[in-house]
Amino acid sequence: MKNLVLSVCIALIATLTTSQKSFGSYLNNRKDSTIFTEKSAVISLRRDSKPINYSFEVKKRSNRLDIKIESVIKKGQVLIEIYKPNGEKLRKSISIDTEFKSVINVNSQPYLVKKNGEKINLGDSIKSINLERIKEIKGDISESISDAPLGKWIVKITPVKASGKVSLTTTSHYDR
Amino acid sequence: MIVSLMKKVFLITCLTFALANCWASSVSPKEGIIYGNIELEDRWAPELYLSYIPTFDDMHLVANGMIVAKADIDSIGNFLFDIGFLPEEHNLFRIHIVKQGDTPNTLTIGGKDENYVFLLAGRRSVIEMNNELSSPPFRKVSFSKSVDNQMFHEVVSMIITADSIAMGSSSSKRKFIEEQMADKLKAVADTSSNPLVALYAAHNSCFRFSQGNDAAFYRSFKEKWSGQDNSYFKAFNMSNTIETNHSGMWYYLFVAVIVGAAGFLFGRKKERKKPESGIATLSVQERKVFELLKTGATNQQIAEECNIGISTVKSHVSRILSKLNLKSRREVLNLN
Repeated sequence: MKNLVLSVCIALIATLTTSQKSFGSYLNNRKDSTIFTEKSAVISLRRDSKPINYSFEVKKRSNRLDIKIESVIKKGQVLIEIYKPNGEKLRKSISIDTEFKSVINVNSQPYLVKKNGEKINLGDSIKSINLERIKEIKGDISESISDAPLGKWIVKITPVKASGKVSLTTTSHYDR
Repeated sequence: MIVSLMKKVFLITCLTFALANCWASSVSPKEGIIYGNIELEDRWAPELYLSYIPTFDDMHLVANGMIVAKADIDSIGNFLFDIGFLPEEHNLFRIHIVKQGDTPNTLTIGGKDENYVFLLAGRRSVIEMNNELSSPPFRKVSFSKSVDNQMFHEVVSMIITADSIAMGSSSSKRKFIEEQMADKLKAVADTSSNPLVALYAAHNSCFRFSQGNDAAFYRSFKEKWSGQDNSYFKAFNMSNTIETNHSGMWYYLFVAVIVGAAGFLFGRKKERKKPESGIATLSVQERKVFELLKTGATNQQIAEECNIGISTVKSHVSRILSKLNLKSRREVLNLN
């Protein structure tokens, strides 16, 4: 009986050790199964900056392509668009404009000005926000694409008398 | 004795009525508000900003002068915007939040930090907006008390979902998804009773104006909403003009007048209240819903079959019944 219990225990310990080893190696393999390549840049914009085409290449089939664009604009207008290798524009684009105003102040009273010129008194609705003190606008785009098309992707930055900066990071995740 | 008893009863009835009125007015929300409960992670500042969006092309515009109101979120997540100052008619707005320490003019498109949601509102709107804790924060947002916003939110979600599926698909699959989406959007544009919901669907349907049915669809869409003079329709009409062959147009007008006159004369002789004659007035999507109604399908089944929301199904059903001069869906079953 003792021998039987002993042999069962040994068998159990052996099984557990083996399975733990194989699970560990699975985890290790899994950790190493993907690699990534990253490209990043910070673009400073000045009042006389011309449109910039920032490109990056997806050279081989990737599991996922992450595009992260962060912009801080102090003055002017900036349009940021992303184009696929076939020239198709992604729906996610952002437009920043420090000059655009739907809300204006007349005698220290805020008004919403509609496109047809109609003025609507905003009363106290935005008095707690001191819009005059807002010195910058932040606009970010984050895009994750599985099985991204191969080729040259372009992030088009179109500034008009703009000052500020745009940071871009692209990461391609591949199978090892 | 009887007179004094009647007086007492009358007095009590009046008092009860007055009290009930007071209670109802204190409980039911007044007009011109956006309110609700928002659950946020700690990284977000407990404030909501409401921005006016002048055209559909400006949905992803962030500028200094767009915010028209600010609302604080209290410790249990409640907020309230008083929008009694807004114009009477619906306009497009964006509600957004920002991270602790960020400028109020911050917009993040996509990813777990996407910080905004769109809605339609006017001076008399009563909109309840709630969300569940999620990342991005407005992923699980819902609108109640406003059918227009439920529908609008459904269309926005539909576009985002189709877009993200199409993104990682092969070109042929993507084309298929885009065509499917365009069909659904055209159906919404065709059937929605809210001009801005219809226009938003049309704006995103990517139909090609110069070709066959799409051009016809666009013409009928423009005609249907010809009374709309707001900035949304103006921007849409300016960016989507169709080339018209004028000599051809006169020919079609002439044919239409002849056919119309003949139809009028013929129609007068026919019995008017037959539902069959009303079926022709149903839109494409309504016809599809009508066919499912005839099989006895429930709202849930129709929603699944047509891949639309329950609220959309309900609005289709009520429009179908009204167009066919029927009182209930049971009468639709009897048409078989």
